[in-house]
Amino acid sequence: MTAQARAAVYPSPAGEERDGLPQWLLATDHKRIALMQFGTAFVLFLFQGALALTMRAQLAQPGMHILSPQSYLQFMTMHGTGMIALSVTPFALALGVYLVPLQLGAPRIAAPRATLLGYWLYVSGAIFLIWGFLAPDGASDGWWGYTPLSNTVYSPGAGESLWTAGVFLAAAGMVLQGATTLWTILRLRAPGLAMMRMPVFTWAQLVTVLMVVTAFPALLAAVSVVALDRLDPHLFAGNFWTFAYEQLFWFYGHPVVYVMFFPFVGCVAESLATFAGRRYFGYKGTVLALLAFAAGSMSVWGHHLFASGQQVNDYFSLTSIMLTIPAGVEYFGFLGTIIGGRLRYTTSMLFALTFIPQFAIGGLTGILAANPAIDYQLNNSYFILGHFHYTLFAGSVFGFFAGIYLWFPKATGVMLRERLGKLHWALLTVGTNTTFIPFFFLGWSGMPRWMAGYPANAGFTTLSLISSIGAGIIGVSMFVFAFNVYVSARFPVPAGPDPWQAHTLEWATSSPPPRFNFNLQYPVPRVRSYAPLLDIREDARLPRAPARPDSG
Amino acid sequence: MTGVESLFRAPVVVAVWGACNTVLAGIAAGFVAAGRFPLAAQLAVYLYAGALCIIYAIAVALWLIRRREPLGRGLRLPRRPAAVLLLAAGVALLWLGLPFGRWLPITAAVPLAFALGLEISARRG
Amino acid sequence: MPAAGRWIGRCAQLCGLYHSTMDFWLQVVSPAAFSRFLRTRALPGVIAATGAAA
Repeated sequence: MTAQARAAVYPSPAGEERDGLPQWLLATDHKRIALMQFGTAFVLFLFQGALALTMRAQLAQPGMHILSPQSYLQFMTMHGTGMIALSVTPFALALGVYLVPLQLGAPRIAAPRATLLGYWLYVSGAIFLIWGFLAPDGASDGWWGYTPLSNTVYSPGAGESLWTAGVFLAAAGMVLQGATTLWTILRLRAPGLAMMRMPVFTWAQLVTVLMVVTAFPALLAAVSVVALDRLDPHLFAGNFWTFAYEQLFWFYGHPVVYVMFFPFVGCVAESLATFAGRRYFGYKGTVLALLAFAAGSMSVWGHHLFASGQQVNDYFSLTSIMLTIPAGVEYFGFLGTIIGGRLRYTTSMLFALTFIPQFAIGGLTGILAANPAIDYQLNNSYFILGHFHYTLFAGSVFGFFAGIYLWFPKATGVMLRERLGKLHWALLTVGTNTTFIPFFFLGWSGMPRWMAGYPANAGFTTLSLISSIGAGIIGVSMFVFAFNVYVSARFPVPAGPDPWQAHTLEWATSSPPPRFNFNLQYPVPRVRSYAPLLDIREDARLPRAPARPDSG
Repeated sequence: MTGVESLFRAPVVVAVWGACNTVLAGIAAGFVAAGRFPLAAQLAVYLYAGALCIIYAIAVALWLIRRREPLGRGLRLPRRPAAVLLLAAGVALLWLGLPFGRWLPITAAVPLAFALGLEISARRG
Repeated sequence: MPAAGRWIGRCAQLCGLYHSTMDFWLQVVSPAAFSRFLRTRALPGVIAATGAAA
């Protein structure tokens, strides 16, 4: 493209954004909105983690010596709802809000103000949820809000109402961001960027936001049912309505865990490809597997209701076990990318590599529970807690950190310290497994969920103590990470556009990127595949320019 | 573009996803029809059907809004972002009626009115 | 079938404030003893009719 043509495509925009609090709070730059969301969600992540540490401090010994039963249930509700609605889902969406326009060579996200509205609805939801937690009659019905426990007869006062409002607002915000990200992928890609040239991360984000816009409305409806039930407990009296609520809730409640999974699989995929020095293996299979996996995840929600006696168990068992197929294809993609590559063991890569076996533990224990006969014994025991903490924490959170250590330099222009990063990784790996492996055995020996304390003769003491020690190690690892961020900001080591020799378009622009992502100095390169920068580097190594078909 | 790339465009992707879900919902309907399940269990199929409507609506929207926006339009700064802050505040105040009484949602009229005013000025300017 | 004797059961659904202490006892007996129980509502030894732990 000639300089003149380029200048026509990138006219200098009117009024570059200044720095200052109002400019951040009212940001219409998708990058700023995402960074605000990361910051908010991470602070809340640490808060919800502290709640977990308190619960684990109590559970380290028999009895209830720290928290009363009411307090414990409030802590547990805030931990569960907060982690899902206020931290991990917002992380998932924010990753897409930040990266998708960049990876697609687009100057912006679709409907930037709607994206900003999504952030502020989420913040108002967070305020209400925390308020509901701190209220004396605080929300204590767990993250499911099952009726009739959540109505005003059994949960009187403002706490549960604030929970209801908070969950609705936070989810509504995420629906908005899912919709704008979806439209960006479908309609705002750079010219020549066919769907089959999108990076693996963007494909992972596409299936995520498809699930968000399709399944999250069920939560908005379910929470509205709780709200109506709190206005008039006679409205939904009776077993039929109790179960109807559960169907509606879990129609959201299962896809949300995949919303909290796929973006982090995308992080792992990009990290593995970058630090194995080769393009991602099995791209087409992975794309199909992602679509099939996401569709499958819309069809399994009934497995949360196996033990109710009111569900079509055969169907949901079938669909749940079928998920192994696309999951297996994705694992082939991971392994095929690593095997034969020249691996660089950066912190991001370590997190990505650890994700692989740890998520497998979570996934396989899920398949075990997908058998209703087994689930009758394991349902609502610590075994299930172990299953989903392995998928969500040992899986998704590790994938999250793989993404953080990969993209932090791009977003800030500053490198994170590698040695502190590796210490963070080592502590987190040890802590995570120490905390959550005992959960499986505790569940197997009969410890149920939501237990504020247990008697000394129950046989839960030793494993609970080991688990609580692990939780402490997780806490220490988070301090190391926070310290890493502080040191890296205080004594910055500048990062160039592409410190990792990576493959996708966001690495072709400055760190941090300019207001509209690409400009005269950093134009969008030619895109011929899902690894455009790798293509360009490989071309440069050839003795003469090859004749390749144009991107069209 | 290669054959696969030109075949697998955005509307096709959404259609494929919609087709996968339609098949899965169909299988659910088959199980329900073959067994004797209480109404509460049959709800599963209706829920899934409702979600399918959302997917098909996205496909239709994609079909109707086919033209891409020219790149230059993407480089204008959106106007009056404060409108969305006020909108969020208004919606939040509406919900505060649930814990604290029915008079609170009335106060939502203030931020919502300002939001509307800002939005009108943004579109007119 | 589990062996005869007393087995503890724990509440497996979040039911409210006292969920953690909502335990119950399961008494496993032979089929003959169970038939006798159905006729006479009397069980030898262990659990009294009120269900209080022995």
